Amino acid sequence: MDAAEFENFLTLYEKDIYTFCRYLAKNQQAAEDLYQETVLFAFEKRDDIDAARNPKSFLLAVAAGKWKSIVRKASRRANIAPEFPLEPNIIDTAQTPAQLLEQKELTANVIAVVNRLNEKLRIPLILHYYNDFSIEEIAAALEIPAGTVKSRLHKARKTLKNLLEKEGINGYRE
Amino acid sequence: MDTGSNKNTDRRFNKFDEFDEFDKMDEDMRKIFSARYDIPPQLRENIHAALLAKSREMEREIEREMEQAAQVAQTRQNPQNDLGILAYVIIIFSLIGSAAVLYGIWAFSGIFATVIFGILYGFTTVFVTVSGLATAFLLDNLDKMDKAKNEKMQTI
Repeated sequence: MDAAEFENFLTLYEKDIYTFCRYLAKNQQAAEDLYQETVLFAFEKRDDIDAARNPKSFLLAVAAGKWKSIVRKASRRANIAPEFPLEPNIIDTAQTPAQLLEQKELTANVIAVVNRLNEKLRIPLILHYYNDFSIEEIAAALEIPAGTVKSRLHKARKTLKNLLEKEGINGYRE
Repeated sequence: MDTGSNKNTDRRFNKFDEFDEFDKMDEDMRKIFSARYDIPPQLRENIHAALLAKSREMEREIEREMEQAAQVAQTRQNPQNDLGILAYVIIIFSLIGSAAVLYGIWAFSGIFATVIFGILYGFTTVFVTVSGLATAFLLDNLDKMDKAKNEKMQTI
């Protein structure tokens, strides 16, 4: 697969990968850097990509792995890029402007709460809700045992629910 | 055998599958994470440029490896290329040695001249021996390099 063929292949998944990077990274610049790193790594490993064996999962796993490594490095550095909420882009023509605004607000609030979670809980949670990854797929992507994934997911969802109730977001009440 | 700790762990893991408690949240979360973002055009251009650069860099690296391997193979096939230089050095030093010997004999003819000749001849002999050993060492190293390059090429 040469560069042009890889770019054609990438076209099929770029939106999914970029969106996932935006959910993982907490600011625009970090999301773009993560996307670029993911794509370049996938390009280097392009001969290992099997089109018949869910290449999207492979690319998402690469992004998750890269993000873990970035977080690990960033935690050792003092100059971490400032965080600011990502603007959710929701395009649903069936909704009225008021509904769209409400949905946008809800998304921004929930993502802000999700971003408050510890990375160990946040990454499996995003993989679970974003791409409906199975326990085994998350375990493979993050290179941790399936039991650890289950326990982290359980803890993440419980913590998230508590936080949502505490903030009273979208009708969640304690 | 199930220990108490294992039972607790299993119970905790199984809780993940109890969706009732999280129904509304799961629904909201899936809805929220179903939104997709478009790639900024500038980022797409950057990726295109980065892929091209990476592709060229990888091609250059492969070419470099191939060239090195070819050079090693060539040297292995024609060791006289490198050994030729050594031969020239040996010849030059031998000529210098011989000239010195002739000069010694001419200048100090007699027993003294013979001693001088003997010493110089001895040095030349030692030099040739050392050169021979160096050549053997060089050939051995070339062989090792050749093998290493062949392994690397197979990996590529």
